[in-house]
Amino acid sequence: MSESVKYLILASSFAVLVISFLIGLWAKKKVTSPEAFFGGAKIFGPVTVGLATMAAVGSAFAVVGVPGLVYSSGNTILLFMLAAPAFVFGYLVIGKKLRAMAEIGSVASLGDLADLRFNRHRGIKLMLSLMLFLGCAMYLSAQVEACAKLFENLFDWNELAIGAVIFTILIAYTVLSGEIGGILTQAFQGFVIVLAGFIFIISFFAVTGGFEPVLDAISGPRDTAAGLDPRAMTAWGALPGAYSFAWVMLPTLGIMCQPQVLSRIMMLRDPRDMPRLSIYATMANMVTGLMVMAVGYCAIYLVANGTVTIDHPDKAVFKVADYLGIVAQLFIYPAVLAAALSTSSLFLSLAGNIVSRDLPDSLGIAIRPSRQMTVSRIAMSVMGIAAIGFAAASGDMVAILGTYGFGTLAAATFPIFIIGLLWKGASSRGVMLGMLTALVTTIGGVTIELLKRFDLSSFAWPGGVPWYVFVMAAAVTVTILASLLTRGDELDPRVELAMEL
Amino acid sequence: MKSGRIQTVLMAASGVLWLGMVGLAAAGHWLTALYVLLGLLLVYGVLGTSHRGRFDLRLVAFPALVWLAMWAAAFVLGNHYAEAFAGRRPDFTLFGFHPSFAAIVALYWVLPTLLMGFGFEAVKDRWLSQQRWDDFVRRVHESDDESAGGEKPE
Repeated sequence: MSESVKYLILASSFAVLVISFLIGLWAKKKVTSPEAFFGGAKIFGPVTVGLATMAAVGSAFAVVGVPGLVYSSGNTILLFMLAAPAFVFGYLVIGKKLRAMAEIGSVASLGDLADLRFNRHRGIKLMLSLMLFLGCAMYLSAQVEACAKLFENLFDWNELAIGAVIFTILIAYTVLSGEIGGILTQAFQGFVIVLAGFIFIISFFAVTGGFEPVLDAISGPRDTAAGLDPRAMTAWGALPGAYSFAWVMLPTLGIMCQPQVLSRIMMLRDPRDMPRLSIYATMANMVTGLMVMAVGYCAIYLVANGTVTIDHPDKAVFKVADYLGIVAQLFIYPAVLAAALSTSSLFLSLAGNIVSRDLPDSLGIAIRPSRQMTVSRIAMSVMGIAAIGFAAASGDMVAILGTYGFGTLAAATFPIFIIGLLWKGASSRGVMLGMLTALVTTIGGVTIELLKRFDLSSFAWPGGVPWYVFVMAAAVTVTILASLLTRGDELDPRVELAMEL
Repeated sequence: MKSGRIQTVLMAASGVLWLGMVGLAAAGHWLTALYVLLGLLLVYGVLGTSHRGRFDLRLVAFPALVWLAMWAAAFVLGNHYAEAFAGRRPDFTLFGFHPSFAAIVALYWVLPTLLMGFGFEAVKDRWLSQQRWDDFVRRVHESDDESAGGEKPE
C-alpha cells in the first residue's frame, strides 16, 4: 500500500471522528439539564434510536472480531451475529414496561431504574454499579484492541498511543454533549457501518462470485496447508459445540438486558414506535451480519486460494479491504472506527453515570447535579485509561473480549431488569444476593481466564462452556431462589402499573 | 390460579430451565441445551404479555411461538446436514451454502427476523394500544397528584 493511500484512509477515518465531534458540538444545545446530559431525554424517533442501538450493540466486536473469528473458525460466531430476532423479542417482552418506568420519574440511568423498581435499595445499586463498571472495562478494551489493529495495519503505531489519541477525541465530544450527543453520533456511525456493509457485500460477490466458490475453496487442496478447516462452513463451524450453545444463548437472552438496548428504549419519544424501532434496528443489524459474513468468507476464499496471508484473525477485515482496493478501504476503515467509537461513547457515558451518580448515591454520598458532570468527565478519562490497560494485559482477540463484556453486562442486568420487571415476586434481597453472586463469580471467572493466559492455571470449564454462561446462570437462579425464600417488596403503585402494562 | 401465583410458578420454572440448560451444556449435551433455551424463551414470552392479571396467549403464539418453531427447525436441519456431510464436501448446496448452514441462514436468521420485525408491527395495537398507553400515563399523573396533595407543608 502506497503512503498516499495510507494517508487518504487516515483522512477518511478521521473524517468520521471530526463529524462525530461536530455532531456532539451541535447536540450540546439540546443539553438543557443534567438529566438530559445523563440520558433522561425522551425525544428521539425510531430511526435515530434504531441506528444508534445497532451501532452501539454491533461495535468493533462485530466489524473486526466477528470476521476474524469467521475466518479462523467458521460459522460458529455467526450464530451470535445472526440472532437478530432476539432484538425484537427483547422489545416485545420488556420494551413497554421499561419505557413506562421512564414515565414515572426522572430516569437518566440504569441506577435510577433500579431505584424505582427496588425502592432505592442501596446494595442493589452498588452491585449494579460495580458490575456495569467491570463490563464497561471489558467492552471498552475490545474497542481499544480493534482501533489498535486498525492503525497497526496502516502505520505500525504503538497501541497505547493509538488508544490515547482516539479516547481523547472521543472523551472530548462525549463530555460536551453527554448521552444526547452520544445517541446522535451513534446514529451517524450506524449509518457509516451500514454504508460500508453495502460496499463490502457487493465487493464480496464481485471477488468470489458467491458463497459456493468459498465452500469449494475451503474444501480444496490448499485448505489444510492454509490452516483452514472445512467444518467451518457447517451450521456449527469448527469450534466445539459448547461455543455454538453459548453464542446462541448469549445474544438471545443477553440482548434484551444490554445497557445499549435498555438505555435507548428509555430515550424513545413514543413507546408505540417500538415495533418500527425494532424493524430499523434489525434491518441495520442484518446488513451488518451479511457484511461480516462476507468479509470472513472473503478472507477464507483469498487465503485458501493463496492470494493473501493473514497472520492474526483480527487483521482479516483489513487484509480483505486492502485486497479489494481503495474504494473498500475508504469505507471499511472509517466503519471500524465508527463501530469502536459508537460503543465506546456509550460505555464511557455509562461509566461516567456510574461514578458520578449511581455509585455515590448507593454509598449515601450526595453530589450536586452541576458537580456530577465534572465528576463524570473525570471518570470517563480514568475509564479510558483502564480499558487501554485491560486490553494490553489480557491480549485476547477482539471478539473474545467483546463476548466477555457482553456476558458480564448480561449477568449484571438480567436479575434487575428482566426478572425484576417480569415478576413482582422478585424481592430486593433476592436480587441483591443474585447480584452479589454475579459480582463474585465474574471476578472469579476473569481471574481464572487471566491465570490461564499467563499459564498459571490449567482449569477447564465443564463441557468447554465459556465462563460467563455459568455466571449468568448462577446470578439468575440465585435471584429466583432467594426471592422465593424471602418476602416481596411493597411496590410503588405506579411501578405496578408499569409492570402490568 | 391467580396471575401473581402463575407468574411465580413460571419464574420458578425458568430457574429450573436455566439450571437444566447450563447443566446439559456443561455435561456435553449442548444441542439439547439449545432446545431447552427455546422453552426458556417461551416462558419469558408468556411473562412479557402479562397485563392486569391476564396473559395474552395470542400475542405469544404470534409472532414469538412461530419464531421459536423456526429456530427448532433450524437446529434440527442444521445438525442433520452437519452430521450427514461430516468430513467431506456436501453433495449439494443451497444458495451456495453448505446445506446445514443454509438451514441457519433461512430459518435462524432471515425468515424469523422478517417475521418478528414485521409481525411485531402487525400486532402493535394488541401489544400496546394508544388507549392503554394514555390510560397508563393518566393514572401515573393522578397518582403523582395524589402524592403531592397528600404531602403536608413544612
